[in-house]
Amino acid sequence: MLFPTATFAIFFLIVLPLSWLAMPKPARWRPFILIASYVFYGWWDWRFIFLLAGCTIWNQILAVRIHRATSQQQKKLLLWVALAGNLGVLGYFKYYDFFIDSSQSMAAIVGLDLPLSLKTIILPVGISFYTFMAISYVVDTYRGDFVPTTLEKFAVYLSFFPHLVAGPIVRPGELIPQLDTPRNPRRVDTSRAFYLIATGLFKKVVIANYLAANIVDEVFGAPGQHSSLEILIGIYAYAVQIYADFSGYTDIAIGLALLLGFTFPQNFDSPYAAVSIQDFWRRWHMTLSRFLRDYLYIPLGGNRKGKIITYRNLMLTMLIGGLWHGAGWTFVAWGAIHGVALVVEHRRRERPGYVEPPDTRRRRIISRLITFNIVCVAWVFFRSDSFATASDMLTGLATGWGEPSPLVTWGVLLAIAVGIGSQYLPARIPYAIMDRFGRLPVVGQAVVLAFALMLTNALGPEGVAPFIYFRF
Amino acid sequence: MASNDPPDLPKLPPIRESAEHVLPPLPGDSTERGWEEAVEPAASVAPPDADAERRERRQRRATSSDRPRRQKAETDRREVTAAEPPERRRRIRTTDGRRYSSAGNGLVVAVLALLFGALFNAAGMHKASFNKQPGTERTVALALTGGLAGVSGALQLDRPRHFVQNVAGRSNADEIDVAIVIPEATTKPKPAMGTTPKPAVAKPPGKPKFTPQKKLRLWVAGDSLVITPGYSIVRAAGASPVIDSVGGVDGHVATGLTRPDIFNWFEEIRTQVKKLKPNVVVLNFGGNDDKAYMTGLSEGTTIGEFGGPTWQKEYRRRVAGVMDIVNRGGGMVVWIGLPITRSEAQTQRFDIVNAVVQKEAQKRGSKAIFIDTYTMFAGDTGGFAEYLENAKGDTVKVRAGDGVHFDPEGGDIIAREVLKQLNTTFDLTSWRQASS
Repeated sequence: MLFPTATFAIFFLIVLPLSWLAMPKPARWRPFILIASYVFYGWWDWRFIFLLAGCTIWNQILAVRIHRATSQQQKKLLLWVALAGNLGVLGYFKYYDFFIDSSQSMAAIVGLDLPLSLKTIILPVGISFYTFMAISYVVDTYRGDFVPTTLEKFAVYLSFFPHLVAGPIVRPGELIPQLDTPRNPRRVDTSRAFYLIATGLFKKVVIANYLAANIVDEVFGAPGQHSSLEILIGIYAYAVQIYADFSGYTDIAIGLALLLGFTFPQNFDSPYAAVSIQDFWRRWHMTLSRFLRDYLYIPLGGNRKGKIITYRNLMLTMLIGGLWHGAGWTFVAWGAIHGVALVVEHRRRERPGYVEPPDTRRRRIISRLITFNIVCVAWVFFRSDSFATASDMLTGLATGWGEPSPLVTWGVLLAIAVGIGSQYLPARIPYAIMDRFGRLPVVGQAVVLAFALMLTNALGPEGVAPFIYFRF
Repeated sequence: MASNDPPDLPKLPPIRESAEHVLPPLPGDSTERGWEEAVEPAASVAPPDADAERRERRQRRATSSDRPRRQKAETDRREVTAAEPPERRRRIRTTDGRRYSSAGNGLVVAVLALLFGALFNAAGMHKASFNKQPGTERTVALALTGGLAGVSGALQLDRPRHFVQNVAGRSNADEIDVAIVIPEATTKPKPAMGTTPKPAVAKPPGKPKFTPQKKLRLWVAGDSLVITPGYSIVRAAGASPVIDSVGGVDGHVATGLTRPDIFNWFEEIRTQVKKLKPNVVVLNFGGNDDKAYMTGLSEGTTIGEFGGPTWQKEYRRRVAGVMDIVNRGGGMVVWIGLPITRSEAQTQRFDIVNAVVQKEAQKRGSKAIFIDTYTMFAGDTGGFAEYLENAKGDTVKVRAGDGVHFDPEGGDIIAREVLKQLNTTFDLTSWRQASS
């Protein structure tokens, strides 16, 4: 089930009251929400639920073992077993073909013909997200930061449907304690929930789809056929599209969880207002960034083992982060660009006698422009289906100025302006909107929301367009 | 509220649990900062002094006139969880100072919003129901949305939607258009006599000639299957100095010739051919047409089973109509056939569609070429293959994971074939000799 569908609306309207009815008795609520989440997941393909259940049981067994293990050595061994299981499943579903394909072409270069066969593997929706949540559960247990909970609670934590298919990647310490006590039905931040759901829907259904259909797909499909201006605007449009698509979806997820009484961590914080790449990663897909930081960068040694190791760790983290997004070398290139940019930023700050320049308005504008454009260059690789397309895009940026640009329309420019401009709104404006909304009578609130639904539906495409982040 | 204190006041112990890290949102920075810290305190037991709290609430309501009267829940005496001593009433606000609402409130708002939203959007929902696959779901949805659209129209609640659509330049988006306007089949009987040897009739020396000054205009259109090969063709065309791709790739997911209600291709092709004046139109339809259902039939006709005589006759009429629209607009049709797919049953259905199209193409000689992707994409053993060798001899992934669509490398294989066909039909090279 996708969020922006009538099927999901009906599903949620059934689950919402039942969830609150069951809420006073957590022992009743947990099996209920577990079933609801499995129905939600099985709607794609009922076979997926066995994978999710298997992942739950595997990690629960190992987390409990790790917790009970007496020696550090034993704990470590069990941790490796757990990680191998998780990464093995993820690797099988996501990277099997990529690995075989790449090793075959490499072997072919040296004249070998590897007898490996390619298979067709269907990627289960959301597997990357719940595998990562399972990993954080096991690792937090290993580190002693978290005491394993019951199988039932862990199963709810992993499968809770708002975050199941596209995040945010919630930590055990953030969600599992919320499963222990009934949520307070008098303290639901409905105005924020509805604000997030309505704006999330608009971002995802209207902005992202409009840009994809009107410029992005055309430009990335055949870069050689387009003028430099079209390519440039096409790249900016893609930057807005992927932000609107993904942040829109997780905003809806956070809003739905809020209506059910649960607080999820924030996932996007105006990423295109970042003043450096490091800043960008504090604002873009924040729950993934902190996952990579805490479970990859820091275990690698973080920045505590000297400059060279720090740079290596930054690069490795970004390269692996790139590969997580998809089995393709273009994603690795995307990670490499971010990695190099981070290393350069680190080096600049570590120069002897480096003083942080004063934070002036002009400086901030320049930093934001530079950061945004570096991010956009990386997006070119992220979106292109091959290096050939990416290089056509980048060379096309220089060679086709002055050609007619029929794809650069006012509608496209407006959608880009809304997508980027909304990230520069002062924080008080959305809060003021939520506050106003919260003061309206019930019918008034419903009319406002219905109006937002009307705008989204009237301006959105017919049918449901695919959502970018499911592939990851 | 304690959290309004400057965070660096020394009176508190330095290390605190996460629930204490609640800071007011930073102004002027993010839209959502501080949200993740909003860990909700666990619900507690009944307050010792529930009466005092009730009194306090009543007083508060009396003193603030801007407070809406809707919060019936607040007076719910049985509720025990909002345990806030009266003097700390600001605590029951969010971190940014807004008031909380109740779950019941949220539910009522959600239900009403969806109801009102359905009334506002009834026309669009009715069309979407019409566009569904036939079955009980469609019947029920049509009945429901039909009634809804009636109510919405009577109350003029469809006005805002129409206004927005007009502003966005899509004023006819909600109309269900099943009119199939295709040229009359006037000259049909003649070519029926010599169907196959037709290419010989076309005079070989007089191949239409194109030059960098007078480029061949090429347009690509079709369902989702055309999108990837379409871009490959447009890229290949871009590499040729004599081919000009006009109108990009006009691909519409989940459309075809059987359902003009979903997307009226007959209308679209006629409009675009008139506007773009293409010499070649690359088409691909049928991927969604393998069903025993069509709209746009004349009153009282039934279509019968998929692939049956009535179905074939009507589908042939539509395919021929599309080809005729292009031909009469002065263009040649290059029809990309349906490929072999992972599902055997689907492949068999695609065979039926392919046979109809191929026959219609043959009737038109050099005015319509059918590209047989079925054999092109079969593996060594003749079955479905996700990986094939490309022109360089590398094994590459040519089909998408769904077992139906193409991957870019597969699109390139088709593009090469299309260009080859264009080179045999047209004179795309003699300008080189003339200019050298």
